[in-house]
Amino acid sequence: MRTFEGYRRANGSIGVRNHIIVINTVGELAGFTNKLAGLVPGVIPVVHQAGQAQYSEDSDQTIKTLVGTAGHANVSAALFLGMGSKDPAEGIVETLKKDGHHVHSIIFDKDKSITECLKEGKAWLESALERSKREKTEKADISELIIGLECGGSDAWSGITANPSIGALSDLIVEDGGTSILAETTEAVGAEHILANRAVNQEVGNRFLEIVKRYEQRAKAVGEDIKAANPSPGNKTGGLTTLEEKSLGCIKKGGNSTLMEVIDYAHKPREKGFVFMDTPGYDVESVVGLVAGGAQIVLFSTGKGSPTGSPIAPVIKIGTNPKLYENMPEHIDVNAGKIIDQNYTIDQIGEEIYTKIIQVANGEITASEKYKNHEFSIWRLAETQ
Amino acid sequence: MNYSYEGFKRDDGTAGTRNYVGIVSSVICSSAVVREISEKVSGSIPVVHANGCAQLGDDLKLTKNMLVGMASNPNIYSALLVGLGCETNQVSGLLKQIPKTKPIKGIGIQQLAGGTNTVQKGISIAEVWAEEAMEQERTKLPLSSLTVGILNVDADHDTLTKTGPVIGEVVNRLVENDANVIIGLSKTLEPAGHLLSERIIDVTEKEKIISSSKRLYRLRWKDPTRETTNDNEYTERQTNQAVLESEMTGSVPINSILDYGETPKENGLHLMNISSNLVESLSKMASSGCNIVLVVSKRGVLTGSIALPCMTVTPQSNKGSFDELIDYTIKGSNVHQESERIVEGLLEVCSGKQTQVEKLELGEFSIPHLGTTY
Amino acid sequence: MGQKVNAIKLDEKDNVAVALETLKVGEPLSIKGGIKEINVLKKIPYGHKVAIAPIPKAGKVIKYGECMGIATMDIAIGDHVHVLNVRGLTEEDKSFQKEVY
Repeated sequence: MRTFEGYRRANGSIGVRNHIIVINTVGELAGFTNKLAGLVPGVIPVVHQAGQAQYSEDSDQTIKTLVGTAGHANVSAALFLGMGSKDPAEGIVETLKKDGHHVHSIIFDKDKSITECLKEGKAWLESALERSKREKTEKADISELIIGLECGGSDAWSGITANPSIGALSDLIVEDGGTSILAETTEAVGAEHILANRAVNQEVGNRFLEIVKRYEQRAKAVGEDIKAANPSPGNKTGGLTTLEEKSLGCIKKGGNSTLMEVIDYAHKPREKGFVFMDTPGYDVESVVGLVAGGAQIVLFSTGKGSPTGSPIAPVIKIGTNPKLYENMPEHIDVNAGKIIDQNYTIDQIGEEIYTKIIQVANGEITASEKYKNHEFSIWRLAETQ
Repeated sequence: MNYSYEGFKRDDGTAGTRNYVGIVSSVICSSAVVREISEKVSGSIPVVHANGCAQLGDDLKLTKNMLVGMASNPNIYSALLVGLGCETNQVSGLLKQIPKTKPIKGIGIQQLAGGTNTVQKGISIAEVWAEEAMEQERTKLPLSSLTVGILNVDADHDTLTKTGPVIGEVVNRLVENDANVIIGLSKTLEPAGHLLSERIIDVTEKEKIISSSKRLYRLRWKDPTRETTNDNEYTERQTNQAVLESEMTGSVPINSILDYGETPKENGLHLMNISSNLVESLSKMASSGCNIVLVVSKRGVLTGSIALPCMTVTPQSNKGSFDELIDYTIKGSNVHQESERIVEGLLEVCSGKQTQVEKLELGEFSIPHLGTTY
Repeated sequence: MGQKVNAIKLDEKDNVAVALETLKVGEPLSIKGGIKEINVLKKIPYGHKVAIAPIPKAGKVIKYGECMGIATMDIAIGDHVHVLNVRGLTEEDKSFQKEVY
């Protein structure tokens, strides 16, 4: 059985990082969030522009994502910045405290001046940083890991090298008792029946068909017929013949395991094994949802080369072709292009990814961590009011 | 009185109140690179946002228009567009749309084989521009080169009775002196559409404001086709408050209702559809050509626009937690005197005086959402 | 590892392989751990599919171990498998597949 060294949290979860973060509840506070993080080296700012003038579908999603992010196992401590008497920050902090998290909130426009808010924030972050240095790691089993599966900047090789290798890895993780979450509902259009057929029961299968259909209809409402537009002429030149084939190239990141559950954006899986999360195909928003849902590590295949990461979870970049690895090694962690020019098999790359996951879980820094790619954006549903 | 200010004259007839080199990301994927370039080149600003890919229809159009508008903003001396390469919102497309009245260039991470190269290349381009911008001097300019955004943030009944008449007088004075004024038309002002329509001559523009005056008309997740339900009709209370807020628009004629990063076609007073999100609204004003914004708030705001000075005006209050963020407090009751002082303060800021928010180096950019991402 | 592999079979059940480099007519296919003695009948650009088993008209084209399309004519071993001889699935095809449930 494979193991790794992680940080055990009060609620029992296990983290592969020990981050101190400062996070805003409303976009207006993004500047102060960055400013405060800048005052204490080592603190990561998690900033976004959501949270203001939103309909309930969006404000609920924002809060859910913020709770999942700040309460993540990779987070040692989180400071929330909020504004005004109706701000959700204090409520979020109460919820997280009950779950044993080390969190605090500062509300601007309540009873403190700006200078006092910054002073209090700096002091709290400094002591949180000291506290985090005293936290020790312990041995943990792979079955405690949740791995997010993502792709972005795909090319003709994505579905041939990197994604099937991620699929092989996902099957290994599931066999070892862990959890993998596939995402990007839009990418599944056309192959939804295949994944639905792999569902553990009819209810899960139907739920999956339902979320794919919903997205397809939503695109149609704004004039885009995903089925009619795919595969695109460019896809066909690259060798893709049917929509099923194109979508299979994406969903094969999930390997061949049984689909245990379909979860909403930023929700935590209740089941272990292979799970699907309803997210857009927009990679940054999708990764944010996966991480808020508890993924400690995200695998991200890329063919054209994408540097994006996450402020909370290490993102492991899997390059799809040898040329990309040659041109942009700084953004690639695993070169699945070796399948093309070095006779490697999909299973061998799957194993290599597994080894990399253990190394990263034990503290090895990924490309996106090295370059501080802390992109964070919450999936938006409706128009701003 | 003959008003003027000292600004940076542009080739297209507009003028900047600031002289920034804009580093603009086409997509969220290049935002870290954009931030790094702007951190290393003094005089440059990062224009980053969360959009640019997996967007369809009007959302993509809005993203494009706002970025084109930001690059064209008169406070931007020159603009460097930074893309990833595979995004929907291509840098090449933006370059075609941006009028060639200032130095504009585009680079991409994939084309330059990685973030490190892109940062280096970006710095080398931006440094040259930053030096040129530094050498440019302010000259005396008339108010006709000014586009003032006016944003009412969090007014309640009490605040509006104090600020409304004063700001209305400011608007009249600016327009009478040939300045362009763009006032935010958010859900708090929308219910006064009928009243405001009386000041509009153009029939199409009249229709626009009347149609938005009955109910909150925004796209919802369950309703992507803009089929509205009756449950969000504006109430009598909301309408009454909107009428009070409409005092802030003064009494001069209204020329047009602007949307989607549209810029005013002629000088005068314009209203602009905005959301009630501060950063999105300031960003929309910046992309429509404003070179300064007057933020009217009961307590002050916690950030500004990345490209525009935002002068904050508040009525007197005893709370004071945001004192460090406020530029002008309306203390007296003489409307004429107060509005005169605000215009004077505004022109000082236009001429280079830093606002409180600028002193704290705060400023954001964000693109509103009309619907979901895909 | 011996001979350079020039095509990949993504699943045991597949009847197509994907060219890892552009294959010339008459070139022998070398698939890791797979079949030998297949000669390519048409030029196969890299990333495109080549048949490694005969696929009859109306038969399933299997890639990733899943049905990705239906043959619109008989496809011989070594032939190029693409839009000219394969169509996507109809709703009818899919409901037929649901028997697996």
